[in-house]
Amino acid sequence: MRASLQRARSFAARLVGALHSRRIDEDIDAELQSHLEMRAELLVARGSSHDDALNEAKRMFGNRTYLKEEARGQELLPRVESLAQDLRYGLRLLRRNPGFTVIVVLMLGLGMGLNAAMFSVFHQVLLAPLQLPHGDRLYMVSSHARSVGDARRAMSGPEFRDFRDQNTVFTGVAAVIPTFAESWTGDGEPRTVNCTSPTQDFFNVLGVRPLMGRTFSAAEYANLRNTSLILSYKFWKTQLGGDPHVIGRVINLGGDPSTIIGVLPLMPDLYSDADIWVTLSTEPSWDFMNWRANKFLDVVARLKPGVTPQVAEQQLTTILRRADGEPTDVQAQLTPVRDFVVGPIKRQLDIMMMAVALVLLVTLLNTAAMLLAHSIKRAPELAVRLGLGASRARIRRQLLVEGVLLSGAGGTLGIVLAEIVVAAIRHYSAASLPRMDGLALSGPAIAVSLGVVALSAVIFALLPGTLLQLDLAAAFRGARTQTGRAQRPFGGLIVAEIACAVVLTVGAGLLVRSFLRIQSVPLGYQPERTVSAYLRTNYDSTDGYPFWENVLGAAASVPGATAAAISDCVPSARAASAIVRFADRPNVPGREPSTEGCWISADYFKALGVPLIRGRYFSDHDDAAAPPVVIINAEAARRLFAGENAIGRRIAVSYLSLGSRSTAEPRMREIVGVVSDLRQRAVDLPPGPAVYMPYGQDETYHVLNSMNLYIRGTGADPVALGRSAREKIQALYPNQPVERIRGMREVIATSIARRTYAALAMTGFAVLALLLCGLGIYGVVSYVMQQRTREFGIRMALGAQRSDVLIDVLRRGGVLVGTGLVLGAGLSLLVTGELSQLLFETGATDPTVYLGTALVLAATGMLACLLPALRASRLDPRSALGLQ
Amino acid sequence: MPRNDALQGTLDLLVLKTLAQLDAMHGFGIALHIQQVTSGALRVEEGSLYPALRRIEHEGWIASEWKTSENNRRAKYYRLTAAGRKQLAREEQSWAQVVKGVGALLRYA
Repeated sequence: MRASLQRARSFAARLVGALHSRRIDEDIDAELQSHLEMRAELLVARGSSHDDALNEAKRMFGNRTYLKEEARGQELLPRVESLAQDLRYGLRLLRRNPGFTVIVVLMLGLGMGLNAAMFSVFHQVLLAPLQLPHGDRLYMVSSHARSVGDARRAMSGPEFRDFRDQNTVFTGVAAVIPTFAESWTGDGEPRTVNCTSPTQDFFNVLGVRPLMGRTFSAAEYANLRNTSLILSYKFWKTQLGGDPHVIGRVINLGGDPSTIIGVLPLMPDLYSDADIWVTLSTEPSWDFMNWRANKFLDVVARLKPGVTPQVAEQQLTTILRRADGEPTDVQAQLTPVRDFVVGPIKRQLDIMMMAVALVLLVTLLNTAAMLLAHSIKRAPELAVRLGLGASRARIRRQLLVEGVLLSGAGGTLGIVLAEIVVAAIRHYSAASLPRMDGLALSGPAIAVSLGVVALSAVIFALLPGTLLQLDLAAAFRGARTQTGRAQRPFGGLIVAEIACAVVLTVGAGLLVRSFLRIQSVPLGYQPERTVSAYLRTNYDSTDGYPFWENVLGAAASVPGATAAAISDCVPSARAASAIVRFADRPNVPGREPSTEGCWISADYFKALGVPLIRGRYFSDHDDAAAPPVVIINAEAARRLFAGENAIGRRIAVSYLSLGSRSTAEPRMREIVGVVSDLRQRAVDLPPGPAVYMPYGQDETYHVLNSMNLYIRGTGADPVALGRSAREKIQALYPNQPVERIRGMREVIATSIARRTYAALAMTGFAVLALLLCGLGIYGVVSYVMQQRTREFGIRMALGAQRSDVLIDVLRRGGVLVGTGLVLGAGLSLLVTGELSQLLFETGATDPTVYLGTALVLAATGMLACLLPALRASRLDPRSALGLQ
Repeated sequence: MPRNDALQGTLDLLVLKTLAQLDAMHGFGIALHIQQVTSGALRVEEGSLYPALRRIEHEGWIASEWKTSENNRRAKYYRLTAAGRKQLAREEQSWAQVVKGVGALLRYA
């Protein structure tokens, strides 16, 4: 009771003091002045001269300004003035310890910068609302069936029409051909552009209004030969210079003059790669839209208010199962548009976010450890200030100000760094990440970073404050704690830091090991000397044959070329799907084996270096007039013919893609060759069964539209070969685009780019964490060594050997590192399961990686202990004891 | 309870006791008194005295007013309050305990 009364009174007095601070200043001045005069008077009485006496009095008194501030500190509530003083003092202190300051600010800046940048990406891609009105009611419709492998299946034209005509759950539904290429000629260099083709209602379903002009009319949707088109915002800006009078302009698309009728706003969420939008007609419709097995359409629908996705799925499943030839267990599946767009990347982003958060955690732990060591070094100084009458609150405030200064500087640096990192991400990975248009350092990211800054400032300030309270007595005794008592809070920090670093290193190890495995995977072909290029043409009839023969002739005649071929497939990147039916056994509709399928020219396998196992390659004689033939790979021979000789057997191949313009029963083909397996679809997918057919025998002629050219050479620079080929081809066909000229090694690198990024980024984070860890351990051990100098001196004076001291330090360090390792390994086991999607032929508990991590961390930790320990063991015991 | 750090507590005790003996005195006088009475064994750092006086005043144990000194100089005079007297008693008692304890330890050897 009395205590609180006293507190209240003292508070009131300070309040009054605060209100009258100038009077108080004068009061203190007067009192100190009177003191000095009295002292001087006494000295004069003892025989000093007046001036000497005054100087002596001042000398005896000491630093008046400082004392005045200290005395006044008793009067004032924390005020701007004293805050400025704390700031000045803090700045002076940080300037006096430039190494410490720079390291802490750099660490904080790096940690926070990475975090803010990564969180911006994370926010932009995964969290930011779709830029479509009521985007949460938009769903993508697909199907899956356990009996045929359960993979996500796109929809066919008839399925879309059934949905559109029979559903009662959508306010609107539209189908889209997600992307196909067309040539754009007549405006400079011939190029190919990405087209996206939606059915009527698409723009209404999405709620997208054109920026300029209009969208397609019903009449345009109903015209198979419609030539009007709409531009994407990006294409309009980058290719047509944002021309304000672009509506009505005619450009040559796929050889036909087409009129621009509208420009869309930026659409970062769906089909952001589209350059040009053209109509997809359903009534009347293309043949390829009428074949139920030809599943290549995206279907996007807007759910009616009050209808749940489950109810809609049930109804659509019923609709799907009414059709003939579908697996009986087929299920419709609704995927929110957001998941559809970000699904493939979500796990990877989650992991990156976790990794960066761990890096930040390591940073903060490390900073806390360094600040702790730093402020304990200052304990004697703080104790003196305490003794002079500074309150604990005042000292804590001083520490808080220093913490805020450090973390503020770190945070500022962090935001600058984050801007740079975000710009780099925007620049380098805009293509590999969805929804990246308009990526910027986001408000929430800055807010989170500032929150972390504030929090860390408080922690930094309070941690040493708390410790100081514990250790104040020791500080009074004389600056050197004799025992390991002060080490305890460090132990926890170091262990936590190591545990985090272990998790990051294990993650990086797993990704790098996967990456190395993928690099050494047998591809089944020889990519080194082969170049690929892409040609989009306007041929969809027999006219295409002479064209492609000329292209192949031109390519083969390039000096240094040994083989030239074309195919619709890109090895390690893309292959179409096909369904196989047999001539000599019953075929169950909906259960036919599915394979990879490619249309190729005669020298495809020679150009890629794929060995023939049995039979023969195609020749130029396998053309439209010749008997239909097919080559299969070893995997297909094994799966479809159980290892029996497949040569001479007959199969029919139904091509599942945009290319299937025919609903006619496909022809039976004789198998004439078996080639060894190559990784056709992706480097990280094992080769599946595959069938290859001569492009001259595509009775739909559709493949003539779009082909990849492969040229094998003798030289080391296949890309030069590609460029020469382009010159030769364009000499014959000046309007023919020849694009994406890339060595096959580059094609492979692109196909695994996401894994490469993940492995690189994670390795970067792990190295950073390791560095921080090493730095932290080094700093803390150095500090503890300094604290124990006297103890070591005594022990060595009493006969301990240098090696004893060394062993003692390493033993203590070893315990910390060991504990951190065990803890980190346990944590890793818990979380690396999340990585499994990104791993390749590497278990999430791969012992090599765990062992390697343990070795790397143990080495880092012990090295960081060893350096200060060596210094300690070289102590001269006498000087350590202060005897010299 | 007020804080009880060894150093501060000791200075508080010296100041309070001095004021109990001298009735009212200025800072310089207090410092001089302590030095003389202890035959120079205890010399109060003048720098720590004034902050301590401020603090003690705010605890309500002493009060101050400006007066004219014996040799006609203006000085701030401090005197003990009733609360100060009680605090002095408490501190004397706890000091006695410390002395007793230290004494016992010294005799033990």
